[in-house]
Amino acid sequence: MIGYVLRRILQAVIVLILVTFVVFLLVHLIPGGEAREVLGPRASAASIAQFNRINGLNLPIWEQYWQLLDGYLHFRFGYSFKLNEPVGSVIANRLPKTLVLVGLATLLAIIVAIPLGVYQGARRNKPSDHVLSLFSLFAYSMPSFYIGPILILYFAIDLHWFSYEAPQGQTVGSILADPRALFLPVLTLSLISIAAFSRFMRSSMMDQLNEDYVRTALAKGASKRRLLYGHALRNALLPIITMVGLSLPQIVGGAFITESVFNFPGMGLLGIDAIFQDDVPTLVGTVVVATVATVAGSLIADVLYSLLDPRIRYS
Amino acid sequence: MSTTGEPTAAPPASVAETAEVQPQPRPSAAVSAADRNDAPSPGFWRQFARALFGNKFALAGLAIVIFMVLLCFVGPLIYHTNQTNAQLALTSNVPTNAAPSAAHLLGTDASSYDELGRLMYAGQSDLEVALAAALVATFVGVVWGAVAGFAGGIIDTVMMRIVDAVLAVPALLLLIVISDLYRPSKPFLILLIGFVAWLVPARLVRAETLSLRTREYVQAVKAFGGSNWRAVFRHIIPNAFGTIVVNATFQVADSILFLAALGYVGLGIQPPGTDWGTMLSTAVSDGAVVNNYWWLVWPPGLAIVLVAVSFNLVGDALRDGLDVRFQQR
Repeated sequence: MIGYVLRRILQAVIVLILVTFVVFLLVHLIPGGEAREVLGPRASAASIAQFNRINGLNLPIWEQYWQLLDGYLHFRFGYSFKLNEPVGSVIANRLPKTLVLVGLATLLAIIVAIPLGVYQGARRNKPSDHVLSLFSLFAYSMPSFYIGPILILYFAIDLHWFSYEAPQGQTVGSILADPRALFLPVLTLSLISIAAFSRFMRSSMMDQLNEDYVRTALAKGASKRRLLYGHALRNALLPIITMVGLSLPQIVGGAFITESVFNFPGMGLLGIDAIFQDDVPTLVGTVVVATVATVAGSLIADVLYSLLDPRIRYS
Repeated sequence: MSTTGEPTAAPPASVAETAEVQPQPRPSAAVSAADRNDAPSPGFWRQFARALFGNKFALAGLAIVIFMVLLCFVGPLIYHTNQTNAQLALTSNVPTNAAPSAAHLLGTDASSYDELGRLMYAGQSDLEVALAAALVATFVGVVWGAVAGFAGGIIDTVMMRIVDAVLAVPALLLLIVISDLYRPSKPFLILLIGFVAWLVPARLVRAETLSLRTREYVQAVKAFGGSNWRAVFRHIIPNAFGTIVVNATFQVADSILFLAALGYVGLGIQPPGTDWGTMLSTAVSDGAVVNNYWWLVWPPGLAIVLVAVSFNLVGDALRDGLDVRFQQR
C-alpha cells in the first residue's frame, strides 16, 4: 500500500515538473519577452537590459527555471505588472472560492448522476433510458457559455428565482452565505459532469448486472430490488471515485469558462481577465496552481480508490 | 474492469467477427492482396452500416451532420453575403442588428454582417478544424497506443506514464495559455487541439493492442518472419478499427466544444475568419442578450450544440453496434 502511494506521489511530482517546464518554456519563447511586454514597444535596449537584470531574465535558461520552481515551492508566483500585485496574493484570495465552486459542482453532479445512472442501468434500452440518454447527451454537448446566459435570462432576469451574478463576497464564508447567487454557477458547471457521471454510472451498473454473482443471486431467488440495490449498486459505486478523479481536469477547465460567464471572483475569472489584459505572469500562475490542484485531486482519488479496492494496487 | 485501462476479458465483437471471416493466419508474402483485405473486413463494414442505419438516433445525428456540412459549404454558393469586409457597417447601407427579414434571413449582427451567411462562414472553420483535429488526435493516439501496447515492458510503462501525466492536466487551460501566447493560425490550431486530445485514443488502442498481440494471427506474423512494424500496422491497428472509429467520432464532438470554448475567450479563429464560439461571444459582449437580439444568440449556440450532439449520437450508436468497450463514456 505504502509502495503504491509513494509511486503515485512520485508520478504526480514528475507530472508537475513537466507541466511547469512546458509552461515556462512557452512563456520564455514569447517574441520580445516579458521586458517588452511590460516596458512597451518603444523601450530602449538599455532599459530592457536593466529590466532583465533586475528580474533575473539574463540568467541561463535552466537557472531561470530553477528560480521559478524555487519560487513556486515558496508560494512566490511572480509579480503582475497589470494588477500591480504579487500573483501569489491574488491567487491566495481567489483559490478557495474556486475550490468551493468546483467542490459544490462535483458534489451536485454525484448526487444527481448516481440515481440517474442506476435508474438507466436498471431500465436499459427502455424509452425512459433513451430519453435520459438524450438529455445527458445534450447536457454534455452544451457549452457553459451558452447554457449560462440562457439560465440567467430565464431563472434570474425573468423569474427572479436566482441572482444573475455570482456572489461577489471577499471571503469563502460570504460566498457560501448567498446560495441564491451561488446556485446558477454551480448548476452550470455541474451539468457536463452530471451527463458524464450518469453515463458512466449507467455502464458501470450494466457491467455489474452482467456479472456471475448477479446471476447466482437471481438463481437463489433474490428479488429484483435486492439484486439492484443490494448487489449491483454496491459494486458499481466504487469506480465512481476513479471517474471523479479522471474528470477533475475537465471540471477545472469548465470552471474557468463558467466563472467568466457568471463573474464569479475565482481563479478562472482571474485567468480569463489575464488573457484579455495580456497579463502573462497572472495567467501562468493561475494555470500552474489550477494544474497542481487538479493533479492533487486525482492523486487523492487514486489513493482513496486503492484503499477501498485493494485489487487495484497489484494491477 | 473497464476503468483501469487494462484489456477487457471479452474481445470486442468486431474482432471476433474478423477472426471468423479469416480463421487462418496467412503467410504475408504469398497473399499480400488478401492480407490488405484484412484491414476493416466486409464483416466490419456490414456491422458498421447496421449500427449506423439501424439506430434512429444515429440516423438523426447523421442527417444533422450532413445538413450542417451542406449548409456551410454549399450554402454560401447559393446565399451570397459579404463576410470579409470589416467596414461593412460604414460603407454599406445594411443596418446593424437588424431583425430577420426577407433580405437577411437571420438578420444582421453589430457589424452588419448577414447572420446566416456568417453562420455558414464560421461553420466552415468549425467543421474543418474539428474534423482535422480529430484526425490528428486519432492518428497520434493510435500510433502511440499501438506502439506502447505492442512493445510492452519499459517502453510501454514510460509511454503510458506520459499519457497519464498529460491527462492530469486540464486540457482547456493548456489550450488557452498556448493560444494566448501565440495566437495560432488555423492549421496550428488544428495541431493544438489534436495534441490535447490524442490521449484517450492512445489509452484505448493500447488496451486493445494488449489483448490483440497475443492472438494467433499476430503471433503467426512474427513466426513467419514478419516485422513488428507489420504486425502493428497491418494486423493490430486494423483489428482495433472499431474502437478507433468510435473514438474518432467522439473526438470530433470534443474538438467542436474545445474550439467553441477558445472562441468564447477570444482565442478562436482570428479575424477576418470567425467560428461559432467567437460569434456567440461577440454577440454577448455587443449586448445581444440584454437587447434581446435572439437571432444573434440562439443560432451560433444551437449550431455548436447540434453538431456536438450529432457526432455523439453517431458515436454512441457505433459503440453499441460494434460493441466497443469504453472507459469513460
